[in-house]
Amino acid sequence: MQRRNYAKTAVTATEPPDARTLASEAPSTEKVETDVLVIGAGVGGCMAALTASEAGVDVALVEKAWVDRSGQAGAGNDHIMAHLNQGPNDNDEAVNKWAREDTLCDVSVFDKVVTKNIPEVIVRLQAFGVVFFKNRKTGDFLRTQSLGQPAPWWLMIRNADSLKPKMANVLRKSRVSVLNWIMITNLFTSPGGEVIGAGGFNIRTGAYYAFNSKCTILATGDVVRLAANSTGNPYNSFISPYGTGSAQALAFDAGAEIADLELGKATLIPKGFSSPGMNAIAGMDAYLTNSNGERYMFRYHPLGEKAPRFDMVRATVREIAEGRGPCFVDMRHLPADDRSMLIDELLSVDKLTYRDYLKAKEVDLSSGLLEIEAGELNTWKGLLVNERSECSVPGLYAAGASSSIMNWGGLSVAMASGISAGREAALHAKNTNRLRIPPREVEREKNEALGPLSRKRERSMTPMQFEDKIRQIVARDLAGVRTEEGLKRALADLEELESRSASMFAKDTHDLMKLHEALHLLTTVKLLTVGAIHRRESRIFHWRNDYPEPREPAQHVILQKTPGEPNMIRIEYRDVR
Amino acid sequence: MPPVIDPNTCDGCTLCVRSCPGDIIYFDKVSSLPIIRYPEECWHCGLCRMECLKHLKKASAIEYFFPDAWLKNEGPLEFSATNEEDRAGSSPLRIGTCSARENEFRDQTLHAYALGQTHTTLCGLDLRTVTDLGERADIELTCATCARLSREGVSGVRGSQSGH
Repeated sequence: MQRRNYAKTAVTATEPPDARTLASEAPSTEKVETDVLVIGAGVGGCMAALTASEAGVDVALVEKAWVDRSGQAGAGNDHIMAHLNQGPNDNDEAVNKWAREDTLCDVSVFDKVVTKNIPEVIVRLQAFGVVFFKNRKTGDFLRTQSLGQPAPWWLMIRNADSLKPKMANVLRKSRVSVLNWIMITNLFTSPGGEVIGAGGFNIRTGAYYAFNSKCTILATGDVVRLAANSTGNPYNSFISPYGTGSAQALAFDAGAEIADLELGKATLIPKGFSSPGMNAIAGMDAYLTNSNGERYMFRYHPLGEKAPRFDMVRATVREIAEGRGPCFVDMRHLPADDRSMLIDELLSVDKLTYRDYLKAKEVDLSSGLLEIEAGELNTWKGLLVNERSECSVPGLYAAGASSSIMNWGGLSVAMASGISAGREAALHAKNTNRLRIPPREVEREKNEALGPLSRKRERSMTPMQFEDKIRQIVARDLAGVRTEEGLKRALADLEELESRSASMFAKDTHDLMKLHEALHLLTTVKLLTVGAIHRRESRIFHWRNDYPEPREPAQHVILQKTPGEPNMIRIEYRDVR
Repeated sequence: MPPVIDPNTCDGCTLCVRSCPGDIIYFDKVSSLPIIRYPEECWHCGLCRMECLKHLKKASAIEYFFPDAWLKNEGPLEFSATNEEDRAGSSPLRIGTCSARENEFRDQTLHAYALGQTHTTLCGLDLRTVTDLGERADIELTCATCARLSREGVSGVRGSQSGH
């Protein structure tokens, strides 16, 4: 009951509480015991929580926002990748072969964690009430082809904006306890190294929560806000800007192996307005043209606009650099019905404000063109998982974009891996006893989490200033072609910044969330940098001037904390399976 | 500015507060109206407006406005380049090293963004492409942001270093 009161106070708060308010109200500590704790309630976390709960264990799902609208699919998703075993290249083998093109993917893991669970994703979504576009005559799914894939694997969702609310409804009817507005700041581990829970605070009330679980699933998505597009605003992003690497940072601190963090520009965006949608644009046969009116993609890839997304970014940047820019999306040739389906049904779901943006920019796509640019940078992967979705630390599982199986398959990969993690975590929980977290440790982590509220304002940095410095370092040494000299300079600057992290001040609990986000960003970028120093090759988004060729066989560069020596990172190379 | 709330249409239901994924919207108990407390952290996702419309049915109390910078087409993007030494091959290729980095701008944020813009436009390119671009005589690679700053009278950007 107390929890409900908290929720009410939180919803009608005029402002987040500061240290003085909290001192007068003495922030409480809530203890939550559960079998499986899921951190992050995007589509991956939700699937994990539901699957685990259906297996008969207690589940707590905790997140920074509200489950109905949180995560990358909060506003919905218009299309989803799934093979249906209905024709050539429409099967597990073809999907695994495609996954192999991401040369750092352990295909045996991808097969078990993702490919085998994709059919279940579609069955479950339909059971939740998600409706797919179908051919009126045949009843077959309407499908499109893009991203360099060998068959039309993309199904289109009709009631796309209801994806998360429908999941939330199912969650509310289930036995899963959903806790909103909680920023997780640490994982608790046992003396034996198992993950036995997590701690965090309510960003609107300052109440501290100590979750004591048998095992924990991390699913906090991509890492964004590492760089900005041409508008300079890090929140103007393609992927949700509220993902800041919590999974990677928390898991690393708990001793898990981290590998293969990529930092790249995943897509093209309308110039000045970061939004997904390029996949739908390519799938619906729109053209990409340069300032001479040429469809330039065929010069770079035989599939033209249906080329892999990375090639679309690379080609477009090159067109512009060679003087044939700006580049545009051209949909003038499309039948009016297709064009309106693309704009009104697909792009408006990719971002609900897409049409408003076109209107504000005075672009009419029936007669005009939409200028595009390469989008901002983000990072994904990191948590190395095995065939059972386990991280290298006992009691820790991962799903979605923060785990090593993520590729261009996006939400289907997130949901399929969520099913796998939920199923495996439930099995683990059934065969494990819960280990108690010592109260002293809870108290220590609570002080650590809430401490920055009581720091002195003078001579201190705001979380945003701290974040800006991380972005400067990323832009200078990590975003372009990398040099060993540059990477080492980046690492030295990041360590220097880390040494000043205790001078960050949070004026209220919203600011405290941003402070912890900044710390998670810092850890993620540090891991990215150390990984890049030891990755002596060029591949995917990692380009080294001193090692311009890919190294064969492909290897993971695995990073792990050295026990007892917090500043030492163990490096291991392991062949990709 | 991002979302703006019409006080005459809003009925204070707080759905926007709960649907915002960024903890941006709070609620003023005195006026019973939501407040956009952190507009600069808005993703422009449109969720608050959608929930509002579903609730009020006739019209949403929330309207979106885009910052000017988001609406501009500023012509072709430009690129930062290797400096003369780098082109001659005597030192490692330093793509994306904006020469303005060493200059003391009063506005550190602007500085960071200038860097971000320069570098992000280059990222995602393979080494060969970048080398090709750097070597082509007909392409002058300059930092768009710095060029703009120098036109606005920040002296020394071009002259102080060989980067442009």
